[in-house]
Amino acid sequence: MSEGDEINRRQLLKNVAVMTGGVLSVSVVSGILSGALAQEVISVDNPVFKKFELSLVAEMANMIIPDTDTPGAKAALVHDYIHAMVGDWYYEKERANFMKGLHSVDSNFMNGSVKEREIIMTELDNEAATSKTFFEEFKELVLVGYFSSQIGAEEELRYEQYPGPYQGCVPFEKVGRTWAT
Amino acid sequence: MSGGWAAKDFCEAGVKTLVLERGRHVEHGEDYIGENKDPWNMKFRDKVDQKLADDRYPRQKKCYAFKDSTKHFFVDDIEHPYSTEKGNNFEWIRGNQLGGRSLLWHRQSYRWSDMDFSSNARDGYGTDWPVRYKDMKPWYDYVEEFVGVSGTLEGMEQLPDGIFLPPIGFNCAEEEFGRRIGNTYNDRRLIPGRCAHLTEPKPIHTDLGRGTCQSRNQCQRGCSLGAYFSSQSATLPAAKRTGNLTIITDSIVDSIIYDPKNKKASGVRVIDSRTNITTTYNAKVIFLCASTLGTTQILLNSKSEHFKTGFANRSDAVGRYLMDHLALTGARGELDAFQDKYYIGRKPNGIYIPRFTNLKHDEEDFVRGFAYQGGSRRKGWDDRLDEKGFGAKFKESFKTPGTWVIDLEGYGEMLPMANNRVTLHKTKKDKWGMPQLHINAKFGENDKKIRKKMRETAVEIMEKAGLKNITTYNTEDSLGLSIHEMGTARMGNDPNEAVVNGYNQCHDAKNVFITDGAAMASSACQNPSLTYMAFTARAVDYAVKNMKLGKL
Repeated sequence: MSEGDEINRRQLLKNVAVMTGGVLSVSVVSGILSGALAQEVISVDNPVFKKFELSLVAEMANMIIPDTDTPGAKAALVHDYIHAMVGDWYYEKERANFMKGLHSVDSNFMNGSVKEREIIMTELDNEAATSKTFFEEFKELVLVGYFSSQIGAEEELRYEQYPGPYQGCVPFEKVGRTWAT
Repeated sequence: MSGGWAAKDFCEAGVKTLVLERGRHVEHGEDYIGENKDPWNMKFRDKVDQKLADDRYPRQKKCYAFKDSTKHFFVDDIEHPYSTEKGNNFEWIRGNQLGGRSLLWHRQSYRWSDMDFSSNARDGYGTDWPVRYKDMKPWYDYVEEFVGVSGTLEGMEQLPDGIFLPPIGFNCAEEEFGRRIGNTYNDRRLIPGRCAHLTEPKPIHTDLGRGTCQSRNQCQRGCSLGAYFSSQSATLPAAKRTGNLTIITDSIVDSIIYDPKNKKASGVRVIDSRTNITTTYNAKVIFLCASTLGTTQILLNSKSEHFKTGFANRSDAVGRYLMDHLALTGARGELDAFQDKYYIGRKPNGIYIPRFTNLKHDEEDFVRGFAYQGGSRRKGWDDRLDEKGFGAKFKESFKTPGTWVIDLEGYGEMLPMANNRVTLHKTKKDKWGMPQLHINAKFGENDKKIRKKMRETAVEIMEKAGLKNITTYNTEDSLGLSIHEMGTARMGNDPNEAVVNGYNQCHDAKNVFITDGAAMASSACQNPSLTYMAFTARAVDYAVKNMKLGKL
């Protein structure tokens, strides 16, 4: 938490206290004071990815959402989220399908140049446009994982836990970026 | 919802009051364990673990509000079984805990009009309501002021105005959509939803520690600001401060005990859900506020020499006339404007088009009517999950929100029909030995006509308002999912036709009152909670007056 954040939160706390008539419960105070908590490391109960598979997932995810003026999918640990979904959330059959899809990605991807990787990705993306493929599912996981990560929500997009009273029509510049949620 | 009101008003009238809750205790604030959770600190990003949902919550998971951050406020379906007639599915969404579904509700709060209270008399379906709007108006005033309902004064006969806090108003697209509807139709008007959120709290609210809504729109996680009305945020603390309240949780009311000598109920039999030990509590007056089907289950299970088919069931109406609202169908379109405009906050409220068909006469090929609820937002990343593209430009494109989409969902009135019925299952019992409910209900011809009309008319309104890319949606197998089940111990003047009289008092046992949705004689098309509250407050007032006169 930076000093600026600290001051903002104290101001928010004051504002909320004024708006609520001064009575604030302990959970609200702690919720506001701590602000957005740092993203915790996801613990995967059923770690199904081998090291090279996790790297492949991370590399592919970062091709979809690369580092730009903000960090990309890898920095946002999207591969850990995908690992949790595939290992812990998916049913056995869904997991097997995912693994099959992952293994079918051209083996040149990991060893290839940026150009070669892009050609492989473009092919996968084109296929996904016409039929339900592994890549479509993969991309969905990447987008969900990224935009619900702290980096994706707070840095790439905008996120407020306590937006304050609703303002229904403001110039877009006042917000600046899409709301993450 | 209604139970909290009964507790508050009895306690405030100086009556020692015992609240029996079948579920666990939930402490305001402290037990809202999903509150303040950022998406990145939920492993599945607020999706419930699929296996857990399928194994333990196969019905509850169909509720829109069932999430990882809210799931602890829904019942475990395996522990709380019921059956349905083959081919007639019914989803019974439940929150068995202190505060019940007042923690989970969608907070839309509308008065019923004279048209609604006279509908049964007008077309002959159902039994006539013993009350009219003038009887209910002072009680709507009373509950609205305490609840804190935000809304706008519109002067529409079919949707009476109330005592409102400032509205959670339109966004740019909703306002424009409303303007275009107003320009096209004389009979249709778009208004801000009326919702139980504090926009400018008054002392009556702040005295209870309630504060202003912060537009988090994660209400079903619980709101320790008390910005939306729930039993926890409002009625129970108000009851508690009188010193007259006792709450006993984990206590399942099994049945009501009838005393034939005094022709009254003497008390209730209660099972401790943790120990299975049975206790009897005696009381002068009993209010049943166990939710529509919960109340019905208790009534049907209270059989005695005197009441062979269930408590206060001389009319045979207990369990019959089950209704829910006709919903989960409508349309969506896009408004090509305001690309330079946006909003701040996750709006916890929507828009409303009050009923406009069959107002004075039945000019349609169905009776009764429907309203619309909905809202508008700009598309975000979650609308674009199957879009083509990858890389820096693709990533960058999400920074700009998409077009404005507008949703309209129909809310239609379902007719009360005797064969839409819940009974006790002949053999199946739950783990506490209570007979399970068996639900047999389906949409009738009138209901189906309304569903179709709601969908078609939504498209027509959107087309005339110049929306683009209009699509429809329809979940036909949706009975129960409006979570407005009601009607199974209906109100009426005739003891041979109805279970309770015009004061929610059982015809067959004067000291037992039913003030949840079970008492409803018709469903109107408005969300019903506010009306349950008004009926409850009115019934408590009546009961207290009669207690003082020695009549109860």
